[in-house]
Amino acid sequence: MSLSHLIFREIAHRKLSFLLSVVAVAVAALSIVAADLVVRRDAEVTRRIMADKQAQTESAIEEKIALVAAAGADLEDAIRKQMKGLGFNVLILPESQDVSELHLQGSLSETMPESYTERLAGSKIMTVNHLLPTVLKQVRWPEQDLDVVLYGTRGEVPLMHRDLKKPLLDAVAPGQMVVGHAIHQKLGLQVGQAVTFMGQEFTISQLHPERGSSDDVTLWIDLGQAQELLGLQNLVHAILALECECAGDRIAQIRAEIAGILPGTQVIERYSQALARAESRTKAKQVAEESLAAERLAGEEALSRELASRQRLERGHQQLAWVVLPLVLVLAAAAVGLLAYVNVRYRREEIGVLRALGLRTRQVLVVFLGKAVLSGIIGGIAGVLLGMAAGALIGPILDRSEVALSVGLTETIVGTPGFLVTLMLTPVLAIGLATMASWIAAAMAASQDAATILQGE
Amino acid sequence: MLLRFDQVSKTYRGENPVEALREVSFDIDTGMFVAIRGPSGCGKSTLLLTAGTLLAPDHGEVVINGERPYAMSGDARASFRGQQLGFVFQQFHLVPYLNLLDNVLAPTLSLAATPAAVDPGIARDRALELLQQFGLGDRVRHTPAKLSSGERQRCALARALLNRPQLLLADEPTGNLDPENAGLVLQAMRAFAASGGAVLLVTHDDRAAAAADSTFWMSDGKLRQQPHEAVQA
Ligand SMILES: Nc1ncnc2c1ncn2[C@@H]1O[C@H](COP(=O)(O)OP(=O)(O)OP(=O)(O)O)[C@@H](O)[C@H]1O
Ligand SMILES: [Mg+2]
Repeated sequence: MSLSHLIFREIAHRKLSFLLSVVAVAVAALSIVAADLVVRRDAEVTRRIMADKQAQTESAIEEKIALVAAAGADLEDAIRKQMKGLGFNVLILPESQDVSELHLQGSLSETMPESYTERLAGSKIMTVNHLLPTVLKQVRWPEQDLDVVLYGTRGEVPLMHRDLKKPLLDAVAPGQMVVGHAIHQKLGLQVGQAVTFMGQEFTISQLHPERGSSDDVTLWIDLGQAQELLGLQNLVHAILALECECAGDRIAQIRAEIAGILPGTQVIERYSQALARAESRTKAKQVAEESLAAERLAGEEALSRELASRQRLERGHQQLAWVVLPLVLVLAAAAVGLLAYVNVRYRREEIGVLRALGLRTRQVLVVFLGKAVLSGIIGGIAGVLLGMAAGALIGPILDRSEVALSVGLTETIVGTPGFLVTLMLTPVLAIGLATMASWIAAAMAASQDAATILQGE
Repeated sequence: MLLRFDQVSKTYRGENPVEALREVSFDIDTGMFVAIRGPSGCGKSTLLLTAGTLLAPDHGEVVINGERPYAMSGDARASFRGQQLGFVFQQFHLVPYLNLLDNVLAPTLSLAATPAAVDPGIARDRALELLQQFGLGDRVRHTPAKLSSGERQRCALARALLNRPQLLLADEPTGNLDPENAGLVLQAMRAFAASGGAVLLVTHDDRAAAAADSTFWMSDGKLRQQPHEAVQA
């Protein structure tokens, strides 16, 4: 005979009242575990959704990077092809000409026979479309007391063996003059105005807009007149070859061809093309970067929108838990306490007898609290198990997102340390709840006066 | 001297205070079987509970086996009660969910974790022996609900005797019994007194009183060792 035997026999005798206590405790434990599971499921679902979205965004950005790179390459290729269609522009100079004079002063001093142009045109050179013989010299405009670059030019020299091509540049007719921007600005010149240049009369046929180059300080006149003014009859400083075509971008081939026809010359490439090419690359890169930045921004916005909506859902569930949980705990405690109180009332006679038989106050307390602890253990464990099932059932009902419905989600959470702590602590809490709720009833039982009870039979 | 009441008074307080015991004094030796008789409400049960260390008197002294139980702490008095006293009530007061064997063994709980603790096997043997002795040897696994009144009271008596008490306190133990069962119970009490215990029996029953060695008479909280003329007449 022992107190535990007494407790077990009494429970077996009054199964229903014990079962009700266990159910009350189990409901409390169930609520805690289910709420915790739902909240943890929420967090896990959010984590998974965000990870998915992040990966999606990243792959979208990667795709975009690839697309943009391809587009950039296409663009660059298109521009390159266009440039190639235009061909190279090269300048043919006497070999002895120092190119730094051209670059530093916009002027040339070494000459070659003008007949070189015809020789080149008459050859079977396939790579040059247009030839422009040129004189180019920095001179003083004595009448205006102004340093200018004099550019003598004529329309293209037709390539003999080919069809006549439309002149690439407008030739400046004899007696006419085209004026660079800086000059006409400074002198206030107008189209149609007559000017005297180095003692010769010219009519201004065209005023160039600002180009930001030596063109701005250049006067264009007819080649013959320029040769005459500079005393360079039948001589030219340079032949400008436009739209040179060749397979590949290599200038070496053009150089070789020209060198074979015109010995004693040098060929230099004009800058414009390289510049355009660099610009096209820069442009393509810029477009790509802007497009990428837009994609990133859109991705980040989508992510933060998703996160905000998930957080709203999580908060909703947490608030629900914070309302429902305390209510359930209070009701469960009240139920357990009431059942314990009824039990004590019902067992008054037994308490009186146990007292008369010599049981100490503490032993009577143990009889009643032992029962409470037992209901806490059984209710706690049952509640934890049912709570996991309930959480697994309720979770997908509260959150119908695809991830929340995925198989194995609950199992994943059940394995986490945080949830294991809940699983361990909940039965402890359940035992505490049952004990505290039964405490007053048990203390009442222990303090019952045996004489009063036995007297009142 | 096993039990001594010395000028013991007890008043139930309340709106209408009741003087249940008025300066009650008596002695009981070992081996004595004393009956207490008197009209309803004269204080017999109060006297029994006071002797049973369950109801502290307002005045006077109760001495049991040389000890003063009301000077002890609650726990010490409970242990003392468990070891020295046995109770039998008119309503039997068996624990409904324990079988007869467990009911009889219940008093060992009071000895648990004290120097007087008994080996469970020995206690069990003694319980079975007592149940056998009272003709309940084949009912030990039954709960009280399945027994007749007489069987229940015999079981209660076995329980009261398990811890080998010095003093047996019985309040109307035969009140609910037929003559045959009442005879069995009284016979057992006699045997207990004869074996060196002492019995204090409260009863209205003439036959029960006749079984006692001597009779105390109570009326209005006062105890006399001789019958009152009015009662005698
Ligand atoms: N707890 C109590 N509070 C107040 N009065 C009480 C209490 N218990 C008993 N009394 C009163 O004390 C007196 C003695 O009661 P007690 O039970 O001792 O009488 P009794 O002789 O046993 O009567 P009966 O033969 O009917 O059992 C009675 O008047 C009773 O009403
Ligand atoms: Mg009475």
